[in-house]
Amino acid sequence: MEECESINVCLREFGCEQSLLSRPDGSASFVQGDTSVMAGVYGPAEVKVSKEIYDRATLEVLIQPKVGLPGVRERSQEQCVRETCEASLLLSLHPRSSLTLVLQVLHDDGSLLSCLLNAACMTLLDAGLAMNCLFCGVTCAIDADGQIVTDPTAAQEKESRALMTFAMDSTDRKVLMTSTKGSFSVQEVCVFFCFLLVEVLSMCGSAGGVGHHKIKYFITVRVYRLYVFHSSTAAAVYSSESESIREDLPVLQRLSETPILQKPLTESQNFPFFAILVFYQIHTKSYRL
Amino acid sequence: RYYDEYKNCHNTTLLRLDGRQTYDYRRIKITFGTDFGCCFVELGKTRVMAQVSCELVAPKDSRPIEGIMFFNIELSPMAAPSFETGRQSELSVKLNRQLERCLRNSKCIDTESLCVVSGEKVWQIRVDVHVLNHDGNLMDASSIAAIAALSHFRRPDVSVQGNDVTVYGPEEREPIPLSVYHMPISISFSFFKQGTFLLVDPSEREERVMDGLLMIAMNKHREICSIQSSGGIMLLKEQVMRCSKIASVKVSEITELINQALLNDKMARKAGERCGFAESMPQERITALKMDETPVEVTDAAETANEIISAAEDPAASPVVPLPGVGQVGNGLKNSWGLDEEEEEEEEEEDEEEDEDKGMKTSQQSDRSEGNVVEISDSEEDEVIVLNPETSCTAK
Repeated sequence: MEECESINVCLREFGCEQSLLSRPDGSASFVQGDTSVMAGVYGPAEVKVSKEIYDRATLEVLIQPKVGLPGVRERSQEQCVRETCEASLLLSLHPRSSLTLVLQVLHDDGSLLSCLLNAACMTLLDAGLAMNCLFCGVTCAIDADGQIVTDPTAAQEKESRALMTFAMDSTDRKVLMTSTKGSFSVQEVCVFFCFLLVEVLSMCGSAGGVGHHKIKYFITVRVYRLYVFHSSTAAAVYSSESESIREDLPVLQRLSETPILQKPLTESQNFPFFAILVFYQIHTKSYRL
Repeated sequence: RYYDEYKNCHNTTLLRLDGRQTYDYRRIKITFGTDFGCCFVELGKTRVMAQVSCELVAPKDSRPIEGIMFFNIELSPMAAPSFETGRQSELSVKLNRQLERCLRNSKCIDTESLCVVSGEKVWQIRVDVHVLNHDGNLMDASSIAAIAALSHFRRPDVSVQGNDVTVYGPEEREPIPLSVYHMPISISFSFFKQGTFLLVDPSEREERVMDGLLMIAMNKHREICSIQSSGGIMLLKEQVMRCSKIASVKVSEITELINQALLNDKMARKAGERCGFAESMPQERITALKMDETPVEVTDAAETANEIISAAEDPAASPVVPLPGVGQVGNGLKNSWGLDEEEEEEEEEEDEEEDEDKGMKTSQQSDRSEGNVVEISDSEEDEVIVLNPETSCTAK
């Protein structure tokens, strides 16, 4: 049984920004090193009769490359992203509706598929769509010497003999999707998985977790500002998350002053926010990191 | 509708929804990407990205010594819910045509310098503009992004020896910028109420209620590159002259902005700083988060992995390759479909014929494992002799 040496693997610096586009319902940009992807989602919206599914939403994923028209590679990436999203979204809450997720590659410097997955997850979060778990994508490469490189750059990917991308969920740390290229042995896959469990903790924990904590802050604050007079509903919502809210409250006070949260919300937007928050709080229990 | 409502509220003063004056542009932000030729432009909330790429192709027959310029504006479905992929909508055709007229017909790029081998190889410069968010005035944003990206772009250096063309990579020789003669920039004017009211840089809501649009593409030397009037409004000569004067002022401001952005980017690259979309992400916003390089603790990964492997069941038998191109896994399973004996026999025979050819066999055929073809037909043709591949019939 071949043993892989444990080496110091690291992820490139990554970053994420949400709500950066005004038209889509949810938008996010995800950056891993120099690889950057921007994503936007519309939904739930009306669906064409030919594409409708009677009991759940129809998720459509479009990946636009930087140069040229989308080709076969984009189609296979779309399939990977779509299946991962379908596994984590609660599609049965929106029957006969469509969700359109559009991903634009801004720069490709390796680990593109995992960057697409991460951007997709942050966008779906930003749109407030109900999900039963967060997911994140990580790419690993095995180079010619058998060394494992995580989050490879384009140069490292070119020299590698195998390239693997995994999408893992945040609750059970299970694999949602795998995409591999090249030749590798069973042992190497197992080592990958162990590496990835740890990576997922850091990625999910930092990008997803902190990102989602920040989301939790502003969704909570929005509801707080809208419903501060509806003390009964607020109490009902807060009671499910009382410990976290108590420590959040001083932050909430500060956050309510930030300009981003002073966007006026119209009447029709109130209910969705409340509904989203209720779902969100319920689901936070399952994916609290 | 929005404009009328607003106007009715304020009978004396006329204001725009976002508080701008008639001739005010929204805030323009130009950033460049990591590789040469990538430019992001934000015009208020409208966002576009332009990417320039180049390729060596054969030139057009009518112009053998000129390079080719190709423009493409992609209305990404991200930009607005009404944009769809594939279908060339009217807006998409209109924008593409206007951008082509603005940039190609004005000859802002020296195409003759793109020629490598006359009549055989020229550079084709391709500009892809992706619209990321549609908040009005896509034409202006696209033209700014396109010309900024073209000015930022560097093409690989080539050398020609006789008939051999060598293209050098960026590490071998410095890439060369394109020769840009001038920067045509389009300015859009929207007209309301049969030409009585005029607004510069309409936002998306203003575009929905406007009567007509006048687009003037001009460079900073006050040369008009293209004028396009759409919507069927009748404009007086004085109005057009006034618009062109306004346009020349705006164009000089915008050209100054582009040059400043190009200069900043050049200095940043010279200083060795990292450039790109990643760097331009704002840090102080609540919606943004950035983490530095994180090392991942993997000290016990190898042991855990080995434990998992030893605890796991043995995987299925490895595939055997009896012939090149033929794989065999296991021995096959007993037919459990519950058919009658005779039918089973016949089917098995037929299966065996096929299987022999393919090199696979079922375990029931182990007694017939000579590899001969069983003749079951009583046709009157001559005996057909099938050449058997040499199969290894040993069961694993």
